[in-house]
Amino acid sequence: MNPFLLKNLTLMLLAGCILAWVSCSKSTHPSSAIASDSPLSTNGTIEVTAKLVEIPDGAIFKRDLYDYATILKYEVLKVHRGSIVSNILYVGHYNPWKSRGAAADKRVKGIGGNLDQFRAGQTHRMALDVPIDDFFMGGIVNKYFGQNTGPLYWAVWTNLD
Amino acid sequence: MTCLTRHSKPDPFATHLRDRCAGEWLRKLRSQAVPWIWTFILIGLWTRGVALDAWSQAADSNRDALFRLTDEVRRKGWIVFSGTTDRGDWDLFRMRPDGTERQKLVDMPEYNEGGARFSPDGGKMLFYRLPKSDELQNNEYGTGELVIARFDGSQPMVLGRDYPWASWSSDGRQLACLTPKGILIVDSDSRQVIWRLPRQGIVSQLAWSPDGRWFTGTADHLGPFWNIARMNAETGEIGALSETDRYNCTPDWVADSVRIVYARGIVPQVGGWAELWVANLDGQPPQPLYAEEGRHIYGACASPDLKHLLFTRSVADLTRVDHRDTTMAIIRWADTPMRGDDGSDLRRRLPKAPTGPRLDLGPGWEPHWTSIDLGQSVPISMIRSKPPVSVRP
Repeated sequence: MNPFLLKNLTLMLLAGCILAWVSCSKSTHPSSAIASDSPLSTNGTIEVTAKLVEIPDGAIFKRDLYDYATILKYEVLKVHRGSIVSNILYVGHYNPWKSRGAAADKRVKGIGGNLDQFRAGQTHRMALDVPIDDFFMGGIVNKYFGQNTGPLYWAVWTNLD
Repeated sequence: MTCLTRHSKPDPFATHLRDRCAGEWLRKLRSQAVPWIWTFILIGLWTRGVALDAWSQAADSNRDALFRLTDEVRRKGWIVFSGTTDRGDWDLFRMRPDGTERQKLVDMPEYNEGGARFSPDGGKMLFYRLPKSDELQNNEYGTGELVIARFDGSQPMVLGRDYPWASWSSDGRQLACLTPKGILIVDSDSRQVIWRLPRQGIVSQLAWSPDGRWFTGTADHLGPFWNIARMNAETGEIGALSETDRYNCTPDWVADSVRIVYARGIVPQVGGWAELWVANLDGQPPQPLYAEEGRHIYGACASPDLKHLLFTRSVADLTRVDHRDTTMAIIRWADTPMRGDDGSDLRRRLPKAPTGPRLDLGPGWEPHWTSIDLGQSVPISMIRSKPPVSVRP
């Protein structure tokens, strides 16, 4: 075999292996491209990656029989789908003391995600709807009441990024 | 001083002297103490007598006050409420406001029924039914299937789940329903939507004022928590009537269309007990009407003549209803604010408030007071009678 051809083939094979390895290793990371049939892609009208700025005192509490949504403040890092008017979003999460995988119930269906617990500073990838009142009719705890929050968003799917 | 040891012999003179001294001392003490003892006994008996007399008078007074209250409300229409049956489901019952003539009004064995309200003309009644497997909840009963029947529960029509939190218009020809997309005004006969309003954050327990000018309900977006809202039925303008620093719910109009009675709720991190309060459209601060330190007060309803208040008392938070600890009671509005018990916090907050009289009516939930004469209607069984008519929107 032509040594030049052999060398090129070897290089191409090596490059292919490296690409395959990089591709495989990336696919295990949560922030990788989301499959088109993922709940993040198929739910809501907006999809963002955003940093949870803070959890106000008393915004998340567990009290039996109280089903509620709480408003949390996010700083948007990337918009994957849809459009938003500000890079600060105020997002309502249903029964935030539950893991997202266990948050859906008889009253609120179709929500979920892989986030176990809300912690300030986390980065979340979320599928959202807006305004919250069109998608949730229940008690809302809004510790940002009185501030200029703009529209309140409704978290349909929330993954830890 | 005489000192006796184990080995010393007792001195007979000393012993005699000691016994004599002791005897004299005892005799002296007895002669002086006896009058005092008798004095104490007599004072004790007198005090006890006075106390017993006062207690007896107080008991008589309380009993008389309770009799008077019972007598006042005896013939003032009917109370319709949900109660449990031996089967374990919730049916609609009726009784006189004094607790007599308690009997079943609507009987659907496969369902839990609640939220009964009579049309203003008294001809019809609406209520909700939920599958027996669904627990009754203060915040959710209005999302069940709407049923409209004659005032006596006969001729029920099941309208389904598309009419949540329905409330009669002042003429009984329309229903206001609270849906996620807004407040729908629906013709009660044709089920056609006549007009709609944005719900402006109202989430449950919608009620149309008797004069037709206002809505009330439990609402978001009027404070950090949920509040009692009043909304102009024409313009949609909305405002909070309750304090906005806590969780409030179960509002209901008073017949004057100016006042709203409601449950002033708790702050979850702090705890406490839901209390019966009244808010006013004229902008005055809301006022307490009745509170206890061991029970939550929900389901407030004023009598049609505005003189009495009907409510439920429950140990558990009434988001989920437990028939074992949910009872109904009536007080006189003129006696408010009233303390239901002598708890120290309530005594501090309402030092001049009386602690009664309160007429206890036994188990029941979400009562409604009507001046309509329900006569001698018989309970309607959806199983034994012909099946209800189902109407699709």
